[in-house]
Amino acid sequence: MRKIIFYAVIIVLVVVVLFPLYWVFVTSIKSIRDAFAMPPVWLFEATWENYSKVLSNGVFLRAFVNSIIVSFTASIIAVAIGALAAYGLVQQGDAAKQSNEKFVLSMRIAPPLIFVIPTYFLASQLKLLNNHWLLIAVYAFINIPFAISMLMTFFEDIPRELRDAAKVDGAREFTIFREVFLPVAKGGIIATLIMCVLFTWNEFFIALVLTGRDTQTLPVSITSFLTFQGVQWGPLTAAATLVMLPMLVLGMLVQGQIVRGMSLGSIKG
Amino acid sequence: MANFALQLKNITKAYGETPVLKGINVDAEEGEFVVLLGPSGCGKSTLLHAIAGLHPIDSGDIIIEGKSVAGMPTRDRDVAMVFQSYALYPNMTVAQNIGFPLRMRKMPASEIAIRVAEVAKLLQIEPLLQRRPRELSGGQRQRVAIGRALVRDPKVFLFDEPLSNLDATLRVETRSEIKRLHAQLGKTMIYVTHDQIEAMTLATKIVVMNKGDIQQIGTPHEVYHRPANLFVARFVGSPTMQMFAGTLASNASGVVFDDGKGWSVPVPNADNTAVGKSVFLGLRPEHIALAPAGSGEMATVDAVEPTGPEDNVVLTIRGQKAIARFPTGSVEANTSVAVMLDLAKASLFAADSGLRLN
Amino acid sequence: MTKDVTTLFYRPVMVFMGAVSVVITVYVLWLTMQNISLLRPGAEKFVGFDNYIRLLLDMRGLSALGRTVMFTIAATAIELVLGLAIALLLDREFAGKRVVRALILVPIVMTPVVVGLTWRFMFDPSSGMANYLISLIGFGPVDWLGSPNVAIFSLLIADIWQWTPFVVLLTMASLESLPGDPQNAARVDGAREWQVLWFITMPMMQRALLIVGVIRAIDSIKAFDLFYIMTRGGPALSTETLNLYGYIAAFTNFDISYALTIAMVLTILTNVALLAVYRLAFRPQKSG
Repeated sequence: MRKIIFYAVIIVLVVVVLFPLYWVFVTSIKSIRDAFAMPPVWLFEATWENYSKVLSNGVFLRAFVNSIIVSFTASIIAVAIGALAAYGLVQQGDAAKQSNEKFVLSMRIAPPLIFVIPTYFLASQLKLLNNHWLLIAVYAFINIPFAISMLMTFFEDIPRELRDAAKVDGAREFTIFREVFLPVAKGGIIATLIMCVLFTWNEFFIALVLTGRDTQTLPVSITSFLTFQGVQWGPLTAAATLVMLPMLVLGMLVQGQIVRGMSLGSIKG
Repeated sequence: MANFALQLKNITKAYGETPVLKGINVDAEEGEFVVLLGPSGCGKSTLLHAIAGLHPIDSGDIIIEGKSVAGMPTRDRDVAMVFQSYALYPNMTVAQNIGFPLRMRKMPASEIAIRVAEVAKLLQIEPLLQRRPRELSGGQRQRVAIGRALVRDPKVFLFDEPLSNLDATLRVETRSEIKRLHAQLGKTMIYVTHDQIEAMTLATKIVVMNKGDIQQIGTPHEVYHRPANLFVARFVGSPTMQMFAGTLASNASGVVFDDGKGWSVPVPNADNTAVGKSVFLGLRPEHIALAPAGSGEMATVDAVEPTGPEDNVVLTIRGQKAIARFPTGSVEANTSVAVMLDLAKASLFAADSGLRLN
Repeated sequence: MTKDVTTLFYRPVMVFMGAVSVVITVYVLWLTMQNISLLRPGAEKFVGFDNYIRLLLDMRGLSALGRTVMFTIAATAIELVLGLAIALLLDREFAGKRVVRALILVPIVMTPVVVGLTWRFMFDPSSGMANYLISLIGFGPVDWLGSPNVAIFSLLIADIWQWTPFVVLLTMASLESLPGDPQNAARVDGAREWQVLWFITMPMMQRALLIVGVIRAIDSIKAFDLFYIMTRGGPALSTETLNLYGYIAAFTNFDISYALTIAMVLTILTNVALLAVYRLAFRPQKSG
């Protein structure tokens, strides 16, 4: 009997968690009439017209490409720099590590508003507001502390004796980094990369301020469906599904490490 | 003049306020097998890591084949090390693991292949060359680790408790293997362990350490039969040396050990300046033997602990407890037996300083 | 000697980032002491702490601050309690545990903008699921996002939906890493399950819960995406948090200096709050 109640609760939980996602997707394949029908229509004929509208929209497609370019480039830069920094920090004493932790925390506390405005200023002076590299630089800068924290936990999992053995075998620091740490921590590095991509792809505020007409990322361009005439729910839900889908896939890929990522390494999942 | 492969001169090291090495002086001649023996925390591992250059020292010098290496980074010291956890590179094959140090020295690939094959043959791990460490058993990994150390032909070999992670049978096997290698190759080996049996079987010279100090340096025979102080006497040998408390007195025949309750035994070669002091008379369990009835001392048997080949018997002799080794089944608990103490093999220690007095 | 080489790995990066942060902070501080407005370019002058005083007297700003505090406390508290409860529920072996764990991730990885849009759709007065569901149990339609009394709670619901899984996952991980022996010893000593939970498990979870709570609180203070997409601070400013107010000041009113003042104050207050929380959290440990 208790088991039935338990599983009932689990099912309720799963339904609550998945329902909005389900609803968005289902609405995207409904016709306009079905989408707004009250009471809601559960069985209907699927239509792909919303998707064809969205996928033929040049603005949306360009935003998709922008999101890919910006997210991946910024994340790769952040992880590359972060890996080097993490390798160095892992060998240091507690003092250096603690000051790094404090720095990471302080970056997390400040609302983006505080550095986005000066950046906006500077960028408009330098006419960089419509430039991918502006976004990439800013996102890389933000992601580096996170990447360092993450990678430090993965590097700390590598037994100290492995590094000692490499030193005795005659390897220099960078060789140890390249030949021992990188291959052994490969899974963690990829997980960190994916988490950076996840964060950057989903990020809205900075993109809102710093993207120009040509560099809009997906979260920003989706809001263009919120026109003055009212919300175009059909294409909007189709776009929303397309925006979320890659992230859901990536999220599943890193589920093992996501706890570590979300707690900045303080809790190892 | 003997060739010293390794000389440690007055090495000190402290972690903050806590001293870990308090002035270590050890010389190792070429081809010696030196064992650093001691309980955990005595500093033996730290010393080994310092020789390798993995930990810096506060003062003193480390001289390898006449050259001072104290300021040099690890990779320039030409030492090889076998770690307790083997420390094999998980992403490389066995062949790549063994070849790694040669690659670091920029040896051409063809030559590396030859050397790796030689070492693999010596250690009988040829069929494993293309496997990865995670596919190997503990014993196999240990061989690969040894192979990686051998392949470079360094000046000194360092072993950091390499057998601790192996199970009992494998430990005995690998121990013989290491002894065989030493005999065959004649290299200088520095070996760290807390297991005194490993020390006794492998070493040409044992350095007993405790709390950062050297307690004694000597051959296994010396360390076992003539321990320099109470610590060494109790650390080496299992069951440990049995101690009888008393004082040193002198009478007509010379210096005697007197327990104050009427038991008086002569101690030849004792330091007679120590007369009047509290002392311990030490005897190893095998030096307490059963005597024909009516001779020797009377002892009561408190407990009998069979160990297989013999019995460890807990006795009370003259009011003091001692453990002896008797043939299996020779005595029963709660009986009285006559025992003989082989006083020629006894050791005498001052109670205050722990130092040997004979 | 080799120590020097390893510092090369991280010092350049840290120094660079530290320098940039300092420069930005100083620049922002300086900007807050001007009265820059993009509506009157060229008319800037130094005004010292005027902007801060203005904020102190700004009713709109102060209400925004109050709203931020209330929202943060409510969201964090509810998410912690609910998340902990769910984590405790899931802390056992059951069929499909791995699947459930994976599915719980969905709200967290969904693009917040999309989450906002989704809930906006669900809260739509005429064609949204929310009103449909409550009509099934007999309640009349609610103007979820259009009524000043209800809007902030709608946002709270959306926030709770999105971030409770965060608490659940982190708490589950902590629960799993706890040593099982003290709990088993308590059971052997005769404690009932709720006693084991209250006297043994909970104290061991303190640190993890604190970390999770702090992370959620910091993120709640900075919450922007949901607020912007679902209500844009309305209706009638009922959902305007301090962060949102800062954004509006900057990009709708072009009142740059004032906007930065708001951001600066927000950062300082968050830091102070954080310090206070840590002091409170770590004092019991010292006496214990």
